[in-house]
Amino acid sequence: MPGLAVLPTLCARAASCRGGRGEGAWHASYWLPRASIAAPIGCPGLPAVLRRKWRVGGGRWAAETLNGAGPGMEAAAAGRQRALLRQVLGWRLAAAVAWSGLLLPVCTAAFVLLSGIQPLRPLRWLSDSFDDLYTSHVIFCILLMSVVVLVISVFNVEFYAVVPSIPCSRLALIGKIIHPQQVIHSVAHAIMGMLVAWCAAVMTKGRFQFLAVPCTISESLNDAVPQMCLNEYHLFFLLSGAFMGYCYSLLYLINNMNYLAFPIIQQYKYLRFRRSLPLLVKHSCVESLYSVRNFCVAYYFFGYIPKMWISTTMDLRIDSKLHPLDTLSGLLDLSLFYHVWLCGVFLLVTWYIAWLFFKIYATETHHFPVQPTFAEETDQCLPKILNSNPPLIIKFLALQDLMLLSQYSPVRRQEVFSLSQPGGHPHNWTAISRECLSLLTDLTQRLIAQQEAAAANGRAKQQVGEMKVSPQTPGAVVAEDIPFQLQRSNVIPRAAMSSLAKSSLMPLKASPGSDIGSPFSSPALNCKAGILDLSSPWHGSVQSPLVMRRGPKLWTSGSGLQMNGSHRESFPVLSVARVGSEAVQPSFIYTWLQNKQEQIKNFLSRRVLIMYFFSKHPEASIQAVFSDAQMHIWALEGLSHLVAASFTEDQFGVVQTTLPAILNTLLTLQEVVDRHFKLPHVSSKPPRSSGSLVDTSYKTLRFALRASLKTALYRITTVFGEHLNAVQVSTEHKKRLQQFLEYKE
Amino acid sequence: MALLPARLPPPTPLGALQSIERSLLCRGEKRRWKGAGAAKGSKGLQRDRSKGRRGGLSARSALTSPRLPPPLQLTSEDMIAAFSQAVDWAGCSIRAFAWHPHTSKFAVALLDDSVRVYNSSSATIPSLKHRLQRNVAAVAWKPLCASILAVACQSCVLVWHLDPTSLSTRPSSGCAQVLSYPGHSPVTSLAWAPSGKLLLSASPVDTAMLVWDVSTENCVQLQWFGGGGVTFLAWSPDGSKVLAATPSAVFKVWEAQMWTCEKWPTIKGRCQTGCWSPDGSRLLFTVLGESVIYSLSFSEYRGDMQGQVGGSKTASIVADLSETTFETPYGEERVGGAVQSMAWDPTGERLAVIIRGQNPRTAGTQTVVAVFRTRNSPVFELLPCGFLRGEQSAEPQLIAFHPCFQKGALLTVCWSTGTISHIPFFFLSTHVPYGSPGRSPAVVTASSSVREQPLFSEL
Repeated sequence: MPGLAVLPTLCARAASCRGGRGEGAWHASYWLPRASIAAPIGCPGLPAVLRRKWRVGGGRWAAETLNGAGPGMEAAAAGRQRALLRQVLGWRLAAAVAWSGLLLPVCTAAFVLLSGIQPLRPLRWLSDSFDDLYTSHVIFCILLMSVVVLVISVFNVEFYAVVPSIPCSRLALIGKIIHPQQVIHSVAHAIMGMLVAWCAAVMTKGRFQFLAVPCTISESLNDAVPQMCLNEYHLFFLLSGAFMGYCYSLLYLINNMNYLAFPIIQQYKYLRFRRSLPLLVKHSCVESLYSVRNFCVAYYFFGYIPKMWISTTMDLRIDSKLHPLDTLSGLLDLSLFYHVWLCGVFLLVTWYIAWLFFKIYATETHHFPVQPTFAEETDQCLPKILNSNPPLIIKFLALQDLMLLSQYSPVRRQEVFSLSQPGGHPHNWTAISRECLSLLTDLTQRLIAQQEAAAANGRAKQQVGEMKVSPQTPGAVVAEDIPFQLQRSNVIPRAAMSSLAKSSLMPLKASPGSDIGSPFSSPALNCKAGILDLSSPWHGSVQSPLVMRRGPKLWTSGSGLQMNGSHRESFPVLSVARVGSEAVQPSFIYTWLQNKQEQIKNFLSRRVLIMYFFSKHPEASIQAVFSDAQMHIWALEGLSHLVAASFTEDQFGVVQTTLPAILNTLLTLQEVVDRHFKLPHVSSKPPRSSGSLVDTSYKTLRFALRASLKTALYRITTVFGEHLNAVQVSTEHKKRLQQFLEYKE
Repeated sequence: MALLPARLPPPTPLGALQSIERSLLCRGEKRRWKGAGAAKGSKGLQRDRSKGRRGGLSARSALTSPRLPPPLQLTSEDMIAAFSQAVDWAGCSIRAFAWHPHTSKFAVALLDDSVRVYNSSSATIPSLKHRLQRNVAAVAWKPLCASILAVACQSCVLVWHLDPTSLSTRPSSGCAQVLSYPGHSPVTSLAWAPSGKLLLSASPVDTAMLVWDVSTENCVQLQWFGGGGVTFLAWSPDGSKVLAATPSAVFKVWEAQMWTCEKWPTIKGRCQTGCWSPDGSRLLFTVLGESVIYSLSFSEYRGDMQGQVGGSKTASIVADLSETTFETPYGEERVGGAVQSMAWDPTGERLAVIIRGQNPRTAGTQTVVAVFRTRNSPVFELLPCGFLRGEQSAEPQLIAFHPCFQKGALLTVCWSTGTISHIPFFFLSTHVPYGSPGRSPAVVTASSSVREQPLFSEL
């Protein structure tokens, strides 16, 4: 496996084997996840590049890279990349932490002010609050909170991802939740939450301040020494803090809040922060309200456990005079509710501010030089970075910078089009265009593989079935067969595959009375008959009614089986008519086994619970395919703007040499994307949630990709116009280009 | 130079404009215009440099500006009528008009809330209807795209994805994408980025204008407190700047890379309309209640000056359109008044202006389209060229220039009678239209296989 993994890096060095590199990366990415925990339940289209792995020693940065480093080169490459990361991101992270630390006293002051609210005596309230601000325990709390914010920031830095990881089924989501990495995240956040709650309790004062309080007089009358009792309010505070910390961690995972969405427009950091602040506060208030409600329910049922445990371990009595909190009347305490809610808001606001600053700073544009002014800068210039395999975040920043420079900066564009001083080679342009094109080619291949997988879903399943005769759960089938298909579709080139499909289609057509509708054959065989047609529609050949009925399917094995069933039912006449004429009869035992296996699968897939966990959400699978599409969008924009600008700015004609390749790549991608959008569910929009703090832009990246692809092509055709007729492209592409020239796409 | 109206009475003779004083002004030059408000106006248009150069919040301006400017107490229909570019939005059958940026195709919003798309190379006229498509105030085609049309409606922005090859006359409402945002209605103005990536929408009741990434339906609010909402948007053809007018006596010019803005207070009223020179270096605008055209020049856009709008210190008056009397073959005519809307042709050589009549009922001045010859470099020039008048009782509603007319400029006028006429101006241009395909003249006429309807008949 390391041997395979090293392939992409090696190939990346050699400029000539671009195609090989794409395949290599593809293989590696489909081999690697099988080793990781999430792989068997992961998404089919999600390469290993996109998975975050639990790091075993190396930096988190290294885990973010393209998994391309072999054991030999790892040290040097990782060292260089870490230096690069430190250089690009180091000061940003420091600034983000510093700003969230600086805002802490403000938040604390607001909290103190609100927690001591006395609506009837406003003057008294204000003076009391301002007096409180200078007390030593508030200052101590601020210091403690800074530590908490620092820890939260460290977690933000460690867990961020520029490519979201999208769980495709509920089981995958559960797998993510119980992943050790996530467990550590949750536990740490729960502890931090408890610390924040302790600070909040201390700052709130009153009955919340201490865990142990002297018991009420009546009980300690007989003793000389006043007995200490457990202050359940304080305990309630601490536990609610832990609960909220855990909820934060859980929602962080579920909402993909570690995903760094790059903003659609560039803005100054202060403005971005100001724009998000009201949303942040609103979100915190609402979320805190839900958390408190849930916590109250949990405490009502399980509150006695921690109470007993604390009182026994710390030898504290439970004050029988006070009302216990794990009762309905105890929980209906408005002041308690308010203070716990406020504590939750305080916690969430401070943490979200740290998160927001991290996001704002990390996604800020970075200016990579196109041409190094000094020799030591060569590693940081744009063409070099694009062509090496940097950490993904660096790659994203570089591509974003490419998009911006191609759009806004004529001076830097000139550097891209320039020739190298001795020799006169357009190294900059070659490197940039090559990387953009290879990104787009990778995407094209990935989409083709997806489509073939979708079309060949049933067939691959049957082959798996042939290999493993023993019955198994549908979930396992899903996990097993998808990487398998994808490897297959990589190994077999498309032409070979279609010819295979056609050649096996021939005998089927030649003998009209074949076993299509035979009741003795297994549904899988029926499925085979359908599938053979299914790979053909792209090539514009036959469209049998069978194909029309059974659209290609992308996701679930369960529903696929049901589809097989319904298909069998939908052709009763056909099956009755063709009972007698069996051309090829597989061996009886084999058929029987197959049938049994299918029955078991059918049986299991009907169990609601299993289906609930194993069924894949179609939308999620599609999102997973396009989860890193932001890179491709930037590559498209950068490339098309550069090509458009080259019409007037390229003095040496360096772009002309690559224009046919660029047009070919874009048009092929356009074709493949168009076809992909014809798959079921791909063209339906997921529900939009506007105006919320949680960024869901990754869910609609595929539409952005489609739009920017078209815009990129139009940008080139609009500028070049009729001159494009002189560019060498295939006749098919020429036709397509003519469509673009006439604005008819 | 020929002026060839298609179905119109002969135009006013060209020489008849002498009495409108030519006020060709360069910056710093001694001003020669007439009118009392001139000196005051130029003083009022000193840019507000003290506050928020980097787009920061200026709390003072938020406090001093009225909380609810008077227009905001209107009903939403009145509001659209007040802020629309059309002369008589509420009464006329044509409410909005937009040329496709690359082809001979245009969209017209009608009084019955439908939008029709006319194409010179096809006989089918798709009529777009949607239950949310009410009180259309503006339409805009997406640049670098075949057929995506944004429609500003009362409650939302509808983005129609039309199939350019489709022969259907009633595209289903499934083709429309709904972009709505709480508190952002009615939408009165739209502007696409010339790069086709972003869409801006503005509402007079929302203090923020929205930047949409249409394909992902993500939006970013661009907030600037004070001055009420945003009534009119104009994106400069080079994509570097955006004019945003507000209902109060202030307008802003945003710089479209880092999205900072410069704020321009006016004395008399809100900015009614504006248009950009093709290279984005000059903005012409008018202020409600003043019958002059102001010009504002910007330093040449370079990508490296991030976050700077680069406007000059003061706006200068370049034309005075106050009421004057003409001797024409048909008798004495009174022309002049406030400017309702402006359009600058893509070569930057013709400027069309709708001059709103003072009081049409009492035989006062009438609404006319005035055309100017302009030159932007090396010095700005604005010379009167002529008037356009419609048939009897037809008043101009909306004007627009064809974005890629190869032989000069093609002005389209929508009249209050419901007719639309295309008026070509033939001249040899030193510039090529900005959005023209190929910048090589053969393209539009190249597709001779399809039936091309002529846009105008030559006399």
